[in-house]
Amino acid sequence: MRVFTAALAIAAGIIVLLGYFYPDQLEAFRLLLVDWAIIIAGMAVLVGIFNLAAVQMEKFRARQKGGMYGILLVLSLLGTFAYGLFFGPEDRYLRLTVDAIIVPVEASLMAILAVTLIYASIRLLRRRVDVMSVLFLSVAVIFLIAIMPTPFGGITALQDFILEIAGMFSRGGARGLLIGIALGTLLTGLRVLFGVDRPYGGN
Amino acid sequence: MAELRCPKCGKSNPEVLDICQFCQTPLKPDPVLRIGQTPTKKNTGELESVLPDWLKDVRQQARDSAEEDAAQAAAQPKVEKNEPPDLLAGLVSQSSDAGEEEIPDWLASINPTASPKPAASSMPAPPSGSDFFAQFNQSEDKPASKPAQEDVPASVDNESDQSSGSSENDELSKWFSQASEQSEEVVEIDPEAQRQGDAAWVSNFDSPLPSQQPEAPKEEEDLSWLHNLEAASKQTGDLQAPKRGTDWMASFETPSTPSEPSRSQEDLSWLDNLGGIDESPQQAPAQPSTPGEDLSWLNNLGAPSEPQPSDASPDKPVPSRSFASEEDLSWLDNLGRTSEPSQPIETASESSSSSQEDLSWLNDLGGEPGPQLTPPFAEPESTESDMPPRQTAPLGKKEETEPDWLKSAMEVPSMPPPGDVSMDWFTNQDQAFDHAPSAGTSQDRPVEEKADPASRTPQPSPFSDVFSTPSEPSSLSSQDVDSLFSVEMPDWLSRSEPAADQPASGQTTLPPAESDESLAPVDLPSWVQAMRPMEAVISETASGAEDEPEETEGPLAGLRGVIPGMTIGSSMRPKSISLKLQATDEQQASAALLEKILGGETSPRALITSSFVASQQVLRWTLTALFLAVLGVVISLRSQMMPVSPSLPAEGDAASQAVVSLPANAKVLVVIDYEPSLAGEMEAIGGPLLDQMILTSHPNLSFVSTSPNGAVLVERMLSNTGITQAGVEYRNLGFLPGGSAGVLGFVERPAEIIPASEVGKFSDYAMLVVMTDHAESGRIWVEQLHAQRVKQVDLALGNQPLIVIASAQAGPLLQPYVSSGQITGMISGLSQAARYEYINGSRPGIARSYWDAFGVGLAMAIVLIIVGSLWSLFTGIRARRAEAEQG
Repeated sequence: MRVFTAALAIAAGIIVLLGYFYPDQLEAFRLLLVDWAIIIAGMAVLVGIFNLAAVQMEKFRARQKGGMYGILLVLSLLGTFAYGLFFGPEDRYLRLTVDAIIVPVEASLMAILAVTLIYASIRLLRRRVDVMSVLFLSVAVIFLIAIMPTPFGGITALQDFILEIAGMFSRGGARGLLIGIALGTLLTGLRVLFGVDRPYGGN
Repeated sequence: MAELRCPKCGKSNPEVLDICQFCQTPLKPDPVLRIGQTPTKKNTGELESVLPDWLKDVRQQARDSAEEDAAQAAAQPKVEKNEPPDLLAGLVSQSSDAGEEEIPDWLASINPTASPKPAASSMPAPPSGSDFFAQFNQSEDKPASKPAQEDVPASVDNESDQSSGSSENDELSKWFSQASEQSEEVVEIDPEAQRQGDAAWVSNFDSPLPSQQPEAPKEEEDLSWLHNLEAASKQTGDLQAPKRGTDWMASFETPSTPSEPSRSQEDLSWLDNLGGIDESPQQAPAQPSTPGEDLSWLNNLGAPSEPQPSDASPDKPVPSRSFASEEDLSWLDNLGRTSEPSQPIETASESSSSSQEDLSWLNDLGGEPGPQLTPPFAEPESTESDMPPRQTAPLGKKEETEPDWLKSAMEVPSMPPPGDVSMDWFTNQDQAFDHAPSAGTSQDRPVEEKADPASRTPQPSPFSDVFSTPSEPSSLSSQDVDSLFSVEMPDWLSRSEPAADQPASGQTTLPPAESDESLAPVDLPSWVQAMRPMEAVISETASGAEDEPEETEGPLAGLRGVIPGMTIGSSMRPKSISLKLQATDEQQASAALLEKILGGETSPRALITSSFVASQQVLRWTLTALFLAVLGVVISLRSQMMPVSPSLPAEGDAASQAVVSLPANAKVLVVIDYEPSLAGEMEAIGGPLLDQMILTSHPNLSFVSTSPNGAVLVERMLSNTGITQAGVEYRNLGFLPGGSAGVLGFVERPAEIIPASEVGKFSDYAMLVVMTDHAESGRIWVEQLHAQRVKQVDLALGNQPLIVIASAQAGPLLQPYVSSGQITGMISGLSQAARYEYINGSRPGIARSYWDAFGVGLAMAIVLIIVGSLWSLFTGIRARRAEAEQG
């Protein structure tokens, strides 16, 4: 069974890859496989939601700690899903739910993140005093100063200079990251095509 | 191929099969025994083939040895007894053997009156020897049909096996006395008993003359020696002096009467062999014989003409003159070698100094205590007047023909035994040489005198008178016997054992090594040292034995150090042992620690939280409160004191140009790929661009999202930005699954992937606007779209602008795409959004409202970071300095 799954995955990958080079022969098969992948991905979202609900129900059934939150989550999920399925996302109450619950909650988490980052910056030199930590903090402060609006109007020349110099390093770093991501993506694809990695459970 | 026969049908099957091919019955028995089945008896002999080779060899050897033993046992004639099986037969046999040793049957049979006594005193003995003498008592006319030599060795063998016994000595004296008185008595021999006895005697005796048959008709010659014995006893008067002969000895005297020739001859054939001995009978009682001579007395046994002294001492070897032929006495030599130098039975009363001398060497060998009065083989000088001491052995005249080996064995040790530290030995030794003839004075000493080591007397052999000549000194005859039966003892044995055998001798002093310079301490072999009894070791090392008290009464009188002198209540009493566990302090401490550890395992431990955690929480709450307070005030005041720069960066400006160049009512695809957490920032950033687009182009907006929350966020954004209020048509295409594959599919076939898109191809969209808060989503759209452009499947895709509205965290990572031209324009962050909004006439105005709070917040963050970092740096240095000083 392991060999069959590996062979199937490898074959699909090779067909899609070769479909780019041979569109006349393999494009239809490629598009078919792509469609199947989209469908499977869409169903995976539903499976994930169902798994989430099952875990929370089990927690509630086993009377574990936080079981009440689990049942609340499941009820909320079912209610929202059903309401949105029937009334659509444009419904006012559904938007009220989004505006009053989802967005504020997630926004608050982001605010906590901001405070945590400031606190970490403050205590960085207490835990670790070295060149990199000092440099990190210095650059962070400089960029904050560069983009900080002032009542005196922005320091345009300074800001431009900072953004130009700092931007040069940032852009270089960003390119490096993107190249690394691209290479990693390419290597991962090749490993899957060669059967070395089997993320589908063949190992 | 071997075949197996089916146990059920009986048909032959190949060996390789387990089941019968005809009836399907298992061919091989199931070795496993199941419940309910009766076990089948197996022959363990079948398993012998699987035994290892070494085990087979052992088994074979055992079988062979068993067979040999059985053959040897079968070769030996068994004494048939009509007695019922007796479980104590072993004890009976032992006691009977002892009885036999003490009173042989052939000797007991000589005197009818004396024969019951030996039988009573000892266990029933085999009628081997007693019948011989019984025949003399019963009928003198019956010739000895049995071979003489067979009886003699038996008697000698029995004699050699005799142990000390006072009763036998008494009987011997009685026998001699009776023999002298009853010269006319006829020895009646029970032929049947004699025959049985001879048969047993023959089987027991392993002599060089095995071929002698009891059928030798030497009737007259067989009894001649008895006549000689009688004559000798009469001459020397030995029969009178030793009175402590046993009864059997008394019966033994009977054959010495002149009527001996008339006795039964059929059982005395063995005596003929005695007559063939070359040596003349030793004059042991009369002459001091050398210790080495052992067989001369046998010559006297062979002389028939000499009258037997009726008063011959039982100790004296009565010469047998019936032995005309002087045969080799090697059998006696062998007999003397094979048999242990057992102490002949002598009564203590009749023990004389000479007797003591005779067997003293045996005492030394056997560890007999007590220094010898005389050397073991000293030749006592017997006088006519004194009763010669009883001889232990009637064999041989040791004065002249004593072999060398016997001489060496019978030599008087120059040094006393190692255990004998008493100086009395030396004095006694001198006395022994001086008073050897006067040993008769000590004949009456009781056996109890043995306790005195200085006066220890060996017991003469009860048969000594039979084979000794009247002229021989009795002491010498006993010496001869002893010498004959003595085994050449090595020096180490003669020296070492007395040390252990004489613990009661009061060994308080070391051996007088200084008295004998020739005797050097010999290093005993290790195995001999291991054999040494502990008493010897203790005696040697106990230098403080002199401190031990001397016993004053009891059998241990005069001895020192026998019983450890431990008085009652002395300090040497063993200390009482406490039943409580004796544990040291260290052990107790360890036990307490272990108990504490075990007790701590069950008890919960309180979690110790350091103050560091509390300080962190305070700082966090402080920061949170500070920001909430300041920013809340700023927002509530709706202040706009922070000016906004009107200049846009290049990518912003390009985006603005692209939006302005849209044709009217163009289809624009807007991708919503941000999360609700950054919805506020994204709405603030994207609002001005979309507002400008709507104002300038009135496009048909299609919103699609690669996240499930996108659909809801579209509505929120359109509501917050006022787009819906502008009356713009838009389509919310919903969620596009599959990530990059979905994007690829939608780019290639939008109508197939999302039929609600209402476009045939992706190039129908005039512009693509991607609103994302993470670079991954922007990258995917850029890469998939560029791939289509490269393929040039749809050339219009090459002219389709791509606008990216990114958050401040995603803008730097998408900047390369902007630099490479893959992204037409990008607005990143609130600062650029504020500028774009400022250019757009401050519409919708979300960014401007956030601008002042944004500025104040950034300022506070910068100040807090700088101040806090410096404070943390200072405190950290101080703490490390303090740790360095402490460490």
